[in-house]
Amino acid sequence: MGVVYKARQVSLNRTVALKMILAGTLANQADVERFRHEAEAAANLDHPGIVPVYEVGEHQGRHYFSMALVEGPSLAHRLREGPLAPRAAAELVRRSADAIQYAHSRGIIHRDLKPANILLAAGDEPKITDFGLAKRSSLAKPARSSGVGAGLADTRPWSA
Amino acid sequence: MAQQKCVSCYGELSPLDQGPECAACRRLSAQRKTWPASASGSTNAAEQPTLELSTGEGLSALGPGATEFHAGDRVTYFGDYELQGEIARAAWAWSTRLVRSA
Repeated sequence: MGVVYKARQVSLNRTVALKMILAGTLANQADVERFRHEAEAAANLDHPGIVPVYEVGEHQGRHYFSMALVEGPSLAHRLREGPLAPRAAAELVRRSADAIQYAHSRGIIHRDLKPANILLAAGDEPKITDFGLAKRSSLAKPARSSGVGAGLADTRPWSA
Repeated sequence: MAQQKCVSCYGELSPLDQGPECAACRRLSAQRKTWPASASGSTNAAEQPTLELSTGEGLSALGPGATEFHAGDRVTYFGDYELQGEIARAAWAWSTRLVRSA
Protein backbone atom coordinates (compact mmCIF):
# COMPACT_ATOMS: atom_id res chain seq x y z
CA MET A 1 0.00 0.00 0.00
CA GLY A 2 1.24 3.47 -0.81
CA VAL A 3 0.22 6.96 0.01
CA VAL A 4 1.02 10.18 -1.82
CA TYR A 5 1.06 13.60 -0.21
CA LYS A 6 1.18 17.04 -1.60
CA ALA A 7 4.20 18.48 0.21
CA ARG A 8 6.58 21.41 0.27
CA GLN A 9 10.27 20.59 0.24
CA VAL A 10 11.40 23.07 2.83
CA SER A 11 15.07 23.37 1.84
CA LEU A 12 14.25 24.16 -1.79
CA ASN A 13 10.84 25.76 -1.17
CA ARG A 14 9.17 23.78 -3.91
CA THR A 15 5.93 21.87 -3.99
CA VAL A 16 6.21 18.18 -4.75
CA ALA A 17 4.28 14.94 -4.61
CA LEU A 18 5.75 12.78 -1.86
CA LYS A 19 5.11 9.06 -2.07
CA MET A 20 5.78 6.64 0.74
CA ILE A 21 4.86 3.14 1.79
CA LEU A 22 1.68 3.34 3.79
CA ALA A 23 2.82 0.54 6.07
CA GLY A 24 5.86 2.60 7.02
CA THR A 25 8.13 0.72 9.37
CA LEU A 26 5.77 -2.26 9.16
CA ALA A 27 6.52 -2.76 5.46
CA ASN A 28 8.12 -6.07 4.59
CA GLN A 29 11.23 -6.46 2.48
CA ALA A 30 9.25 -7.22 -0.66
CA ASP A 31 7.26 -4.01 -0.24
CA VAL A 32 10.43 -1.99 0.22
CA GLU A 33 12.16 -3.56 -2.77
CA ARG A 34 9.18 -2.94 -4.95
CA PHE A 35 8.88 0.64 -3.80
CA ARG A 36 12.52 1.38 -4.47
CA HIS A 37 12.26 -0.37 -7.80
CA GLU A 38 9.53 2.05 -8.82
CA ALA A 39 11.58 5.03 -7.70
CA GLU A 40 14.67 3.85 -9.54
CA ALA A 41 12.77 3.08 -12.73
CA ALA A 42 11.21 6.54 -12.86
CA ALA A 43 14.35 8.33 -11.70
CA ASN A 44 16.23 7.05 -14.72
CA LEU A 45 13.79 8.66 -17.10
CA ASP A 46 14.06 12.27 -18.20
CA HIS A 47 11.25 13.12 -20.56
CA PRO A 48 8.62 15.89 -20.57
CA GLY A 49 5.91 13.23 -20.79
CA ILE A 50 7.01 11.38 -17.65
CA VAL A 51 6.58 12.67 -14.09
CA PRO A 52 10.16 13.27 -12.90
CA VAL A 53 11.47 11.85 -9.63
CA TYR A 54 13.42 14.35 -7.54
CA GLU A 55 14.70 12.46 -4.55
CA VAL A 56 14.67 8.95 -3.13
CA GLY A 57 15.33 8.33 0.53
CA GLU A 58 14.40 6.96 3.90
CA HIS A 59 13.37 8.90 6.99
CA GLN A 60 12.71 7.33 10.37
CA GLY A 61 12.38 3.92 8.77
CA ARG A 62 9.94 5.09 6.12
CA HIS A 63 11.02 4.85 2.51
CA TYR A 64 9.90 7.69 0.28
CA PHE A 65 10.52 9.45 -2.96
CA SER A 66 9.51 12.87 -4.15
CA MET A 67 8.42 13.78 -7.64
CA ALA A 68 6.92 16.66 -9.53
CA LEU A 69 3.39 17.53 -8.52
CA VAL A 70 1.11 17.55 -11.52
CA GLU A 71 -1.72 19.93 -10.72
CA GLY A 72 -4.30 18.40 -12.95
CA PRO A 73 -6.66 15.45 -13.16
CA SER A 74 -5.83 12.03 -14.46
CA LEU A 75 -7.06 11.04 -17.90
CA ALA A 76 -9.43 8.60 -16.18
CA HIS A 77 -10.97 11.46 -14.27
CA ARG A 78 -11.22 13.59 -17.38
CA LEU A 79 -12.92 10.80 -19.34
CA ARG A 80 -15.70 10.62 -16.77
CA GLU A 81 -16.83 13.95 -18.15
CA GLY A 82 -17.17 12.47 -21.62
CA PRO A 83 -15.02 11.55 -24.61
CA LEU A 84 -12.27 13.82 -25.84
CA ALA A 85 -12.50 15.49 -29.21
CA PRO A 86 -10.92 13.26 -31.86
CA ARG A 87 -8.02 15.58 -32.59
CA ALA A 88 -7.29 16.15 -28.88
CA ALA A 89 -7.47 12.42 -28.24
CA ALA A 90 -5.09 11.70 -31.09
CA GLU A 91 -2.64 14.32 -29.85
CA LEU A 92 -2.79 12.90 -26.34
CA VAL A 93 -2.11 9.39 -27.60
CA ARG A 94 0.78 10.67 -29.71
CA ARG A 95 2.41 12.41 -26.75
CA SER A 96 1.84 9.47 -24.44
CA ALA A 97 3.25 7.05 -26.98
CA ASP A 98 6.28 9.30 -27.35
CA ALA A 99 6.90 9.13 -23.60
CA ILE A 100 6.43 5.37 -23.49
CA GLN A 101 8.71 4.94 -26.49
CA TYR A 102 11.35 6.92 -24.62
CA ALA A 103 10.94 4.67 -21.56
CA HIS A 104 11.28 1.61 -23.76
CA SER A 105 14.41 3.04 -25.34
CA ARG A 106 15.83 3.27 -21.81
CA GLY A 107 14.92 -0.35 -21.13
CA ILE A 108 11.92 0.39 -18.89
CA ILE A 109 8.55 -1.24 -19.53
CA HIS A 110 5.71 0.44 -17.61
CA ARG A 111 3.28 -2.53 -17.60
CA ASP A 112 0.44 -0.61 -15.97
CA LEU A 113 -0.36 2.06 -18.53
CA LYS A 114 -3.97 3.14 -18.18
CA PRO A 115 -5.92 6.41 -18.01
CA ALA A 116 -5.51 6.61 -14.22
CA ASN A 117 -1.74 6.70 -14.67
CA ILE A 118 -1.75 9.49 -17.24
CA LEU A 119 -1.96 12.86 -15.53
CA LEU A 120 -2.96 15.94 -17.44
CA ALA A 121 -0.82 18.99 -16.76
CA ALA A 122 -1.49 22.49 -18.02
CA GLY A 123 -2.63 22.47 -21.62
CA ASP A 124 -3.68 18.82 -21.24
CA GLU A 125 -0.06 17.77 -21.56
CA PRO A 126 0.05 14.08 -20.57
CA LYS A 127 2.48 12.99 -17.87
CA ILE A 128 2.98 9.27 -17.31
CA THR A 129 3.28 8.23 -13.68
CA ASP A 130 3.19 5.16 -11.44
CA PHE A 131 6.07 2.92 -12.41
CA GLY A 132 5.28 0.57 -9.54
CA LEU A 133 4.94 -2.40 -11.84
CA ALA A 134 7.66 -1.41 -14.26
CA LYS A 135 10.55 -3.65 -15.06
CA ARG A 136 13.72 -3.38 -17.00
CA SER A 137 13.42 -5.22 -20.26
CA SER A 138 16.57 -7.17 -19.43
CA LEU A 139 15.11 -8.51 -16.16
CA ALA A 140 13.39 -11.85 -16.19
CA LYS A 141 11.86 -11.66 -12.72
CA PRO A 142 8.35 -10.18 -12.75
CA ALA A 143 7.75 -7.21 -10.45
CA ARG A 144 4.44 -8.49 -9.14
CA SER A 145 5.77 -11.58 -7.45
CA SER A 146 4.86 -10.51 -3.91
CA GLY A 147 1.28 -11.65 -4.20
CA VAL A 148 -0.02 -8.19 -3.39
CA GLY A 149 -3.11 -7.11 -5.27
CA ALA A 150 -1.50 -5.24 -8.10
CA GLY A 151 -4.28 -2.99 -9.27
CA LEU A 152 -4.36 -4.51 -12.70
CA ALA A 153 -8.10 -4.85 -12.95
CA ASP A 154 -8.39 -2.39 -15.81
CA THR A 155 -5.02 -3.01 -17.40
CA ARG A 156 -5.23 -4.96 -20.61
CA PRO A 157 -2.69 -7.71 -21.34
CA TRP A 158 -1.20 -5.68 -24.17
CA SER A 159 -0.65 -2.64 -21.99
CA ALA A 160 2.81 -1.14 -22.13
CA MET B 1 -23.17 -9.88 -3.29
CA ALA B 2 -20.04 -7.94 -4.23
CA GLN B 3 -17.04 -8.21 -1.93
CA GLN B 4 -16.72 -5.16 0.27
CA LYS B 5 -13.58 -3.07 -0.17
CA CYS B 6 -11.55 -1.19 2.40
CA VAL B 7 -12.06 2.54 1.81
CA SER B 8 -8.35 3.24 2.41
CA CYS B 9 -6.43 0.57 0.54
CA TYR B 10 -9.23 -0.90 -1.60
CA GLY B 11 -8.25 -4.36 -0.41
CA GLU B 12 -10.85 -7.00 0.33
CA LEU B 13 -12.59 -6.59 3.67
CA SER B 14 -12.67 -9.63 5.86
CA PRO B 15 -15.97 -10.66 7.45
CA LEU B 16 -14.19 -9.99 10.73
CA ASP B 17 -13.44 -6.36 9.82
CA GLN B 18 -15.69 -3.88 11.50
CA GLY B 19 -16.33 -0.58 9.79
CA PRO B 20 -15.20 0.62 6.36
CA GLU B 21 -11.47 0.01 6.89
CA CYS B 22 -9.52 -3.22 7.15
CA ALA B 23 -7.67 -3.97 10.37
CA ALA B 24 -4.28 -2.99 8.91
CA CYS B 25 -5.50 0.40 7.75
CA ARG B 26 -7.26 1.07 11.04
CA ARG B 27 -4.01 0.36 12.85
CA LEU B 28 -2.02 2.57 10.48
CA SER B 29 -4.54 5.39 10.72
CA ALA B 30 -4.19 5.34 14.47
CA GLN B 31 -0.41 5.35 14.11
CA ARG B 32 -0.49 8.28 11.67
CA LYS B 33 -2.36 10.44 14.15
CA THR B 34 0.80 10.54 16.25
CA TRP B 35 2.99 11.80 13.41
CA PRO B 36 3.13 15.56 13.80
CA ALA B 37 5.19 15.58 16.97
CA SER B 38 7.46 12.64 16.23
CA ALA B 39 8.12 13.41 12.56
CA SER B 40 9.21 16.97 13.28
CA GLY B 41 11.49 15.98 16.10
CA SER B 42 9.43 17.97 18.56
CA THR B 43 7.12 16.59 21.19
CA ASN B 44 5.63 19.97 21.94
CA ALA B 45 2.53 20.31 19.79
CA ALA B 46 2.35 24.00 20.60
CA GLU B 47 5.55 24.52 18.59
CA GLN B 48 3.92 23.26 15.42
CA PRO B 49 2.90 26.02 13.03
CA THR B 50 -0.58 25.93 11.59
CA LEU B 51 -1.34 25.25 7.96
CA GLU B 52 -2.83 28.10 6.01
CA LEU B 53 -4.91 26.93 3.08
CA SER B 54 -7.02 29.07 0.88
CA THR B 55 -10.27 27.63 -0.37
CA GLY B 56 -11.29 26.81 -3.89
CA GLU B 57 -7.87 26.10 -5.35
CA GLY B 58 -9.43 24.13 -8.14
CA LEU B 59 -7.90 20.82 -7.24
CA SER B 60 -9.97 17.76 -7.92
CA ALA B 61 -10.50 14.03 -7.71
CA LEU B 62 -10.41 13.31 -4.03
CA GLY B 63 -10.35 9.55 -3.69
CA PRO B 64 -12.03 7.45 -1.04
CA GLY B 65 -10.09 7.40 2.17
CA ALA B 66 -8.14 10.51 1.32
CA THR B 67 -7.60 13.14 3.94
CA GLU B 68 -8.25 16.82 3.47
CA PHE B 69 -6.25 19.37 5.37
CA HIS B 70 -7.98 22.59 6.29
CA ALA B 71 -7.00 26.05 7.41
CA GLY B 72 -5.98 25.84 11.03
CA ASP B 73 -4.82 22.23 10.84
CA ARG B 74 -1.41 21.52 12.26
CA VAL B 75 1.37 21.04 9.77
CA THR B 76 2.96 17.62 9.65
CA TYR B 77 6.64 17.44 8.79
CA PHE B 78 8.41 14.46 7.31
CA GLY B 79 12.13 15.15 7.19
CA ASP B 80 12.67 18.02 4.75
CA TYR B 81 9.03 17.94 3.67
CA GLU B 82 6.02 19.78 4.98
CA LEU B 83 3.02 17.60 4.25
CA GLN B 84 0.10 19.59 2.94
CA GLY B 85 -2.51 16.97 2.23
CA GLU B 86 -2.98 13.40 1.16
CA ILE B 87 -3.66 13.13 -2.55
CA ALA B 88 -3.81 9.42 -3.23
CA ARG B 89 -3.78 6.10 -1.53
CA ALA B 90 -4.05 2.70 -3.14
CA ALA B 91 -2.70 -0.80 -3.12
CA TRP B 92 0.23 -0.53 -5.51
CA ALA B 93 -1.87 1.35 -8.02
CA TRP B 94 -0.58 4.77 -7.18
CA SER B 95 -1.27 7.97 -8.95
CA THR B 96 -1.00 11.61 -8.06
CA ARG B 97 -4.62 12.62 -7.93
CA LEU B 98 -5.16 15.88 -6.23
CA VAL B 99 -6.98 16.89 -3.14
CA ARG B 100 -9.96 19.15 -3.37
CA SER B 101 -9.12 21.75 -0.77
CA ALA B 102 -11.81 22.76 1.64
